[in-house]
Amino acid sequence: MLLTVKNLHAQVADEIDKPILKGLNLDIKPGEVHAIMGPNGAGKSTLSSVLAGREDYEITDGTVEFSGDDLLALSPEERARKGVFLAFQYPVEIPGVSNKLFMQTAVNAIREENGLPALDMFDFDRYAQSKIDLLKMPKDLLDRSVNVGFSGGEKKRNDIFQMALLEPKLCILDETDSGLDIDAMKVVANGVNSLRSPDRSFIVVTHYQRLLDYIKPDFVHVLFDGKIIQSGGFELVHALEEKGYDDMIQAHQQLQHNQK
Amino acid sequence: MSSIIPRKMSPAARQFLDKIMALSDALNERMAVKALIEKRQAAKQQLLTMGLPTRKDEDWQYTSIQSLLQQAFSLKHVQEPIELTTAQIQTFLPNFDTIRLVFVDGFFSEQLSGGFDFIPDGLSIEMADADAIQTINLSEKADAFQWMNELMLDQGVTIELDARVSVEAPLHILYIQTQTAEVLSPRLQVRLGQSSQLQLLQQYVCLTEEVTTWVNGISHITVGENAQCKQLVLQQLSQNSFYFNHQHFVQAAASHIETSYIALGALLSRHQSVATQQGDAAETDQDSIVLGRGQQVMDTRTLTQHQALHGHSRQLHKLVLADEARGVFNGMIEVAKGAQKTDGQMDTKSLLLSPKAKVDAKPQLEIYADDVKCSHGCAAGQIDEDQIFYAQARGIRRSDAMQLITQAFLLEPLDKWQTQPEMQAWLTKLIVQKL
Ligand SMILES: Nc1ncnc2c1ncn2[C@@H]1O[C@H](COP(=O)(O)OP(=O)(O)OP(=O)(O)O)[C@@H](O)[C@H]1O
Ligand SMILES: [Mg+2]
Repeated sequence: MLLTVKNLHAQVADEIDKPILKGLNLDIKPGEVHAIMGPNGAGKSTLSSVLAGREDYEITDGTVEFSGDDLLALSPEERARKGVFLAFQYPVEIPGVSNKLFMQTAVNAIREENGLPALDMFDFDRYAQSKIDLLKMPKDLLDRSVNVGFSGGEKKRNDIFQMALLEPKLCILDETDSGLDIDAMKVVANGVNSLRSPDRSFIVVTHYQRLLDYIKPDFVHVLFDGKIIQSGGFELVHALEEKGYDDMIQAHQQLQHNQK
Repeated sequence: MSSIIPRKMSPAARQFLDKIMALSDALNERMAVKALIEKRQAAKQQLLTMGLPTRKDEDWQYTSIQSLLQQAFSLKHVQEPIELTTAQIQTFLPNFDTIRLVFVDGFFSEQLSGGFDFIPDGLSIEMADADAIQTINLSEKADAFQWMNELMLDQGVTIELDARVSVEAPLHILYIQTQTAEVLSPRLQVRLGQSSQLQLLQQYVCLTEEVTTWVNGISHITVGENAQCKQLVLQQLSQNSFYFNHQHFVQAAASHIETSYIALGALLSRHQSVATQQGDAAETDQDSIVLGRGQQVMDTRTLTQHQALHGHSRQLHKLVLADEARGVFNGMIEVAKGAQKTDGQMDTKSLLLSPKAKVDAKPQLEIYADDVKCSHGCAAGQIDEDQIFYAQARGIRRSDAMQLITQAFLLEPLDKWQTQPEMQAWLTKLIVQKL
């Protein structure tokens, strides 16, 4: 198993009595692609952030194991170095720091973790150029400040570009498809597909079927009220697209009621 | 004078002033140039009347000079200049060509100076000329530190550049202080003729961190029609030193000045830059980079006086403050009646790296013309946690992320040196070493 999430409970760090994740379970094997869908406010971004190590959240119960490590005990940078990658729902702007410097630092951090020598500017340039071509990114991307002055879609693509550079083991995409035009969506989907490999897994958080049509996830989960209330295959996406979440949520609430 | 009641001073201020007045008296005996003695005497009267500033004075509200008042200074207690080798000062020097004037404890060192081959016809440099130094007349608004400069006035540099002469290599004036408790009162007078061009680099250093000094300077720069002056002041004094500087640019029509202040050293520093646009269509660019830590107090002030038509001014001031450092910024843009079509903009941004670091920024506009475009922006805050997390999520260590973000923030004003990559690289290195 690459990732095992057991009974995960999380809340905002200084807001007691306001749980967001309420007993979430998820198992991901190497090479699998999991889609997570669910209504606004269900906790999808919170799950993504908790896995990446954002300190705004406090874990009140449960465990997360990643490649045999206790993920929750690691700092965000250690998680990234061990192969966890989060493509942000809202990628952050860093004025004055060029993409080149930022990503060279990041790539070398991860190479250091893997016992590889650092790439100098020249080698990094060449390496980055190959990924720029692959993702059809603008040529001046590296010279620009991280995400500054980028359109919404460009920011999302920049995150996918970073993912391609870092070659992580677990890629978490938090609504990377929202706000993308059809061409950009294809670029993102191609990026994901080109990175697919037997030892790399994905968690794709999305509201829309379109990206999933391109990516073809192995599993689809519905997250509601801090828990996964239903899991299935690709057919679940079609069901949701037709009927929405209401029936599923009602059935879940009924079940909970009966259990009490 | 007798009708003015002298200001009441604290015992510490009184004692301090007495001591430096004694230094001035000794100087009068050593350097008995009549005109200078008269100036020093007048300064003495002025200081007795006005006293030393306290935090009750509006211009000194955030900047206490107590730490200075506790010190006792001497003036040229070494009679002979200390001999230094070029190797000893190498770490201060840039790795590109300059016309270099080096002063060691205020004495001009011919041996350490160099690059005279780069002096073109039409550029004259005069040193320690008593007549030359005393041509700057302090204004009525001069503060106590300017008067103290005059009180201990003993040396100066006068630079004249003829019309239409461009000096390729920067003119680098390096002041090295090697003796503890010495006061240095440098004066610099620069006159740029019509359509001439000059780059000026004033650098203040201590030979070692153990040296405690007090630099109290005045520069006066007149920029002729259509002339260009790019000036940089690099303040790298030891962490226990004191730095006060007052510089004034007087600009003729279509002249362009760029002035940058980089403050890395001194326990207490105050850099005041004044630009007066007397001619139409003058351009004034002012920026600063201030990096404070420990208990440093770093005060930067600009006064931009638009007095003619179509004036243009831009300012970007960046402060990074760690530990218990305090930053002070005061920027005033004055637009005189009739200075129509003035376009002035001033931005100050501070990054506080610790909860005990503090900045007081006061941007001000005083506008007496109706057809102008003036604005100021002022922001201070902690480092953005979202930016740090974003970098961490890419495997970058928290400390490296802080460094990366802080550096990018602080170095923004260096973008303007892009056409001079060697200068940019040198300045970047000096600043990053201190981060
Ligand atoms: N830092 C925070 N402070 C306060 N409340 C928070 C914080 N983070 C999340 N929440 C709350 O937790 C709930 C889940 O938020 P989350 O962002 O995880 O939802 P989501 O499933 O990603 O929604 P969306 O589909 O709109 O992106 C919401 O009610 C949200 O307001
Ligand atoms: Mg979300």
